[in-house]
Amino acid sequence: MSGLLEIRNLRVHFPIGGGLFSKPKLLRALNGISLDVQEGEVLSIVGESGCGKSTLANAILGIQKPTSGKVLFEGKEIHHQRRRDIAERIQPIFQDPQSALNPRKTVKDLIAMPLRVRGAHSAKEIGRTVDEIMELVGLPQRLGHSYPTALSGGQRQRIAIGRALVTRPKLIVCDEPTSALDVSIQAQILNLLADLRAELNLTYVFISHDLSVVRHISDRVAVIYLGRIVELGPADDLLDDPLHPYTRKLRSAHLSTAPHQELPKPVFKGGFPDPTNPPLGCHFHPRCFDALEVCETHVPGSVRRGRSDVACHLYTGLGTPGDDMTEIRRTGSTEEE
Amino acid sequence: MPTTTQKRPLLEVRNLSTRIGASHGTITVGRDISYELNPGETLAIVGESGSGKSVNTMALVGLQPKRATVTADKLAFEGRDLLTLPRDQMRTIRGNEISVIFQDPMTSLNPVLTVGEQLIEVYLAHGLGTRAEAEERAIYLLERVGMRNAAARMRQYPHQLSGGLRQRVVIAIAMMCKPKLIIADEPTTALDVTVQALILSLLRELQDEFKMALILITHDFGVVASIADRVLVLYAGGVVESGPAKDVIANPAHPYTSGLLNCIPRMEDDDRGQPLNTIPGMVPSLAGNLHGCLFRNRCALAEPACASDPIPEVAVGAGRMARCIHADAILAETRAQEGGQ
Ligand SMILES: Nc1ncnc2c1ncn2[C@@H]1O[C@H](COP(=O)(O)OP(=O)(O)O)[C@@H](O)[C@H]1O
Ligand code: SF4
Ligand code: SF4
Ligand SMILES: [Mg+2]
Repeated sequence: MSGLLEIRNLRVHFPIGGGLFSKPKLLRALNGISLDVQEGEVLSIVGESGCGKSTLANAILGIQKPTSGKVLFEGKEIHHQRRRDIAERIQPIFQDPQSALNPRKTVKDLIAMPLRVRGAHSAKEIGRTVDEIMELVGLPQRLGHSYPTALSGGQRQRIAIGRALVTRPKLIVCDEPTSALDVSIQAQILNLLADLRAELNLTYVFISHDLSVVRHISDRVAVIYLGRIVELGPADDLLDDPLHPYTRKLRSAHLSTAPHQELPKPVFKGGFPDPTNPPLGCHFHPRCFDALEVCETHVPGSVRRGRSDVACHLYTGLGTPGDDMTEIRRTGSTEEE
Repeated sequence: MPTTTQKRPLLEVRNLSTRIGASHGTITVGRDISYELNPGETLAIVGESGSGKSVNTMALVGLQPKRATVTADKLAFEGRDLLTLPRDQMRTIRGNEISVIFQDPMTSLNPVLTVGEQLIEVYLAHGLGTRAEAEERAIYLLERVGMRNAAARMRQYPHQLSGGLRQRVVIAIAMMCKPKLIIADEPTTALDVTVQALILSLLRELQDEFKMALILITHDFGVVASIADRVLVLYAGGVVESGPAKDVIANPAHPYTSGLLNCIPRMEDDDRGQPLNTIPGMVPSLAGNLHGCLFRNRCALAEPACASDPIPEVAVGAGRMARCIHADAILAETRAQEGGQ
């Protein structure tokens, strides 16, 4: 099944450091990501900071060139198209609207900007569209000539959302859109995103570190560890019954507001590894309480379990002779197309 | 054997108010805040940004903004009046008996000094012993906060450490002088949830071991639920509700607390597709003369009586209070909701 967005074995490597006498090291920010996003769905991406979430967002937006692999939007490789054409169909919403909004432009100018860049619209058309968008994202008309610094964080995020929508894109990449907001404002923005999705048939790639927000908004969730997807599945399955040891740890570190919430037990062995020198085999093995011998040498391929895909040797059958292979369909290693 | 020392709270705060002079008049960022903290206890101060969590808590140790005026009927640490304490004595208490941890560890760390130098410096500056003793304690504490190769870490600079490790160093520095109270302002907000869990467990462990009290400033009710003994909910500079953390979270008695808790998507419920609850309106301006309940412009239960002073502090169970004329009714309702689930 092909999706609105298809990501095929995507790698983004950054050379870092290196001087006169030393070779630069290679940071494999994305190391073979494959993912389909269906039209109209919300796919969330979770993982610790530095795992590659934002690099993936940038690659989808066409801002970050892949080292290898493909990003297809409606079947066409986006990195072969003009940035401006891509920007009309795929728009970002970032965490900190403050830094994304020029403080010397008014609300209306900010929202109109993508249309002005495109040209081909009369001032009257632009004015009408901007008014519609302001209505759509819940910005009262009287704020049209205000500057973003005079507004609240929630209102600024509404401007950013309005600006993202003005070219009628199909896909919105939301990178921690509510992390800087208070919970009462977060609730308003999440409701707005849900309404807009229904009304405009939008598709979201939603990056967040807050699992309860992720659970609330997403259809499916992908968990990334050091540039690789370790688990991908329906939000309920993945968060109620995580399969991968890393997903389980993330899940148990989430502090809910249930009165019986306790502090989680120590979550990992050891610290976050050096991303320029990731552990061999399963990247997670030095920190994994379930690690098998095979985990130190072999990258686990992705296998299907229920409705999820999980990349872990507890399920590949390679390290657990007792495992019932008929239940497990191996889909090969991440090295293959 | 009969004990002669009567039980006295470690910290007593009565009617703390903070006003900040601005070009257009005075804004009241803290209004009649009162609470007590016992030795070894964890108090969470929770509220949305701008509610006054930081300003009013930092004011305890003289770290309020320059233009701020702090008043209180009582502000006592082990019976000593913190308001009238001379600067140098406050400085001795701060760091020695009360340590402060900020959200951004770099606020407390000096980028040009090694981790070891910074740990040793606080110990020597407070005249607690020799350099050798300082070094020994520093290494011990780095190990206690879960850093392997503590001796090697001593020689590293802050920029060589991850955010989580830096915050551990800050905690170790805060512990150098065996404080009786740690004030931590959003210490885990900038960290990954996995690191947050580690840092909170660490604080908890150190607290048990050294019998420290902790004031934890946070906007995250998940943090409150998992670590706090008691909670103080701030809105627009005033305490709207306080009590044992688990009771307040399970059955809030103030419309603001219950509204805030209802905005949070829950892992446990399947609320996908349902709109989240929101709190309409905005926090009012804190300029000029304030009167009545400051939540009234957003409260569905508001009535004329809510505009006049004083709004009573209603006792709603053991060690609990809510500043709302309908507190009893709201508590009954949140209890019924819980029962009906
Ligand atoms: N240095 C300062 N000068 C003027 N106003 C300040 C200063 N610091 C904080 N405030 C104001 O005090 C109020 C409470 O702020 P703060 O204590 O930082 O809230 P919180 O920690 O709950 O987010 C806010 O209205 C804020 O703008
Ligand atoms: S592959 Fe091995 S080391 Fe990796 S998560 Fe699974 S059990 Fe742990
Ligand atoms: S005192 Fe009145 S306005 Fe304030 S919270 Fe209670 S009912 Fe609402
Ligand atoms: Mg603060």
